[in-house]
Amino acid sequence: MFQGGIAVKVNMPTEQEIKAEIDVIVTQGLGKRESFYSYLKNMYRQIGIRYLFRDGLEIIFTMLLVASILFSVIKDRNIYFSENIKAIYAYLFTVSPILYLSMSVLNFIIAKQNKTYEVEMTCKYNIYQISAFRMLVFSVICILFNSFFVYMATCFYENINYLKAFVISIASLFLFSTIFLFTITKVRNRTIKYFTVLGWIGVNLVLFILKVDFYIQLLDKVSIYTWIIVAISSLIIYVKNLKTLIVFRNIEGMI
Amino acid sequence: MLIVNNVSKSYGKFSVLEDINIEFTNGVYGLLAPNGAGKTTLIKMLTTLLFPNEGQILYNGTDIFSLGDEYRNILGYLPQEFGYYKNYSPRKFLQYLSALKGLDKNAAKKKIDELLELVGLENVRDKKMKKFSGGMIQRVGIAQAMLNDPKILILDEPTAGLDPKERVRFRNLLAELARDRIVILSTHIVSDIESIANEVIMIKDKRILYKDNLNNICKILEGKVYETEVAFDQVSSFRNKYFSLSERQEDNKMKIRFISESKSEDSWNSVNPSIEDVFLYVYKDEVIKEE
Repeated sequence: MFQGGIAVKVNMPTEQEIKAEIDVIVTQGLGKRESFYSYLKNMYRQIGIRYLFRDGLEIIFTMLLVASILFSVIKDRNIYFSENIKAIYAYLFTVSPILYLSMSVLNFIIAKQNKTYEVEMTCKYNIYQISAFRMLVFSVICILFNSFFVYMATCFYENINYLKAFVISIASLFLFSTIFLFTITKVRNRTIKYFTVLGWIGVNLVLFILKVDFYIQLLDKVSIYTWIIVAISSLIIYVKNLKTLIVFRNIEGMI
Repeated sequence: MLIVNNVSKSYGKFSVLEDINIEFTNGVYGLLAPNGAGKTTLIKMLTTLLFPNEGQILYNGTDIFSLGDEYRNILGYLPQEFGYYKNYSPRKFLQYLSALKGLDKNAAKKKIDELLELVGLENVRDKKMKKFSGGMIQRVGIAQAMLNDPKILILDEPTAGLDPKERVRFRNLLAELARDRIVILSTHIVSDIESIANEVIMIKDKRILYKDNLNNICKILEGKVYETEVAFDQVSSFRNKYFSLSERQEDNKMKIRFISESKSEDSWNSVNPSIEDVFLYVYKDEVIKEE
């Protein structure tokens, strides 16, 4: 390099020095990536249970309502299940996600209809992030509820295998939750969205009510190990999808 | 710096905004247009509530939608229809929103007390909001928008429901705040803009018509605005001939402020055009349509 006609020698950095400098710039320039778990933990700490579930009364009411309907069916349709005890598996498979569906749908309907929607959507933790937390909690509630529900069913019908019934119910819950999450985040058309969510319940219910042999046999014949694999796989996909809610880009009309 | 870059927005086939380009630096920007011109749509895009169909909005060079919570962290927003929980007191409601905004509890507590005092609600901080007047609710809305000390403060029709005293206090507050942040104020109330906006943005026919300071925008009508007195029986024919801006009765005659493109007559007094004159002139077709 020349400066006023005199040659000035500049010490060029080595390849390693350049790489080290680039690494420093990149690490300092990019924000830390928070894990899903620590994100939820921080959110819980900052918002607190009181505000994360400010509609706690509505949630409890929904739980009681759904529970009373589901329990009354097992109790009153005693004869129905006595005729074909295997149909109880079909029933559990059909109704296991209903509580989850009711709580999650209520979550989005209340959020969208609330006049506070716009202000809440522009806060750091908006409806999508809070929903990810809430839906995780809903799933835990549903696992507990389903295990109790299946236990009650085994009390009424002694021929039922508790473990099998429980795994079927969990598999159904997470298969449905995965479809539900996929629908709310990926499907833009509102009609298709409703059709997919209600379709799952509707189709299973029709097959169950019409006592379609193939359907009942299928649910019964599938081995418990297969059900376990289905349950675990859908659980993994579900949690993975929940993570996408955290960074979800709000597109008009999505919920 | 906030940059709106070639942004267009439509709902189905109905286009609302086309090819919008604006740059915002610190200061108060008044978004002035009649109802239905696309002000709220633009604001909803700036607050990430709506996605543009085309173009992008950048904050310091990064797309606001990909910034996600980083952008929402520096944003304060008062929507046109500010919703609240009726059974909450202003203090509880602000505590709830500060939790959603991820603010530290103790810092938020202090900030809430400061803001409630600033908007004159310190005496009713623990009263349920269901008993509040429209102006009081609006003041809660203004306070919540400032909770996180935002770098970008966006207010959609903020003075609606405020009485003249509150309005003046609010304007002074905004002028103070705008020294080190971007304040975007959407309104069709011309006097709000007149007193505080550093720049005025006018939207017409889905596009930005003007983005300039008040003086330059008023120059559009320089030498064209007059006042004169007209006998009552001639008012109707006068209105047909010239675009009347305002009229009032004075000494058994009608004093008319109007626009004339042609040379003035002796009885006319040339007056300085105001932003209200420009608004009425620019949107005269819309005004007639609305009537």
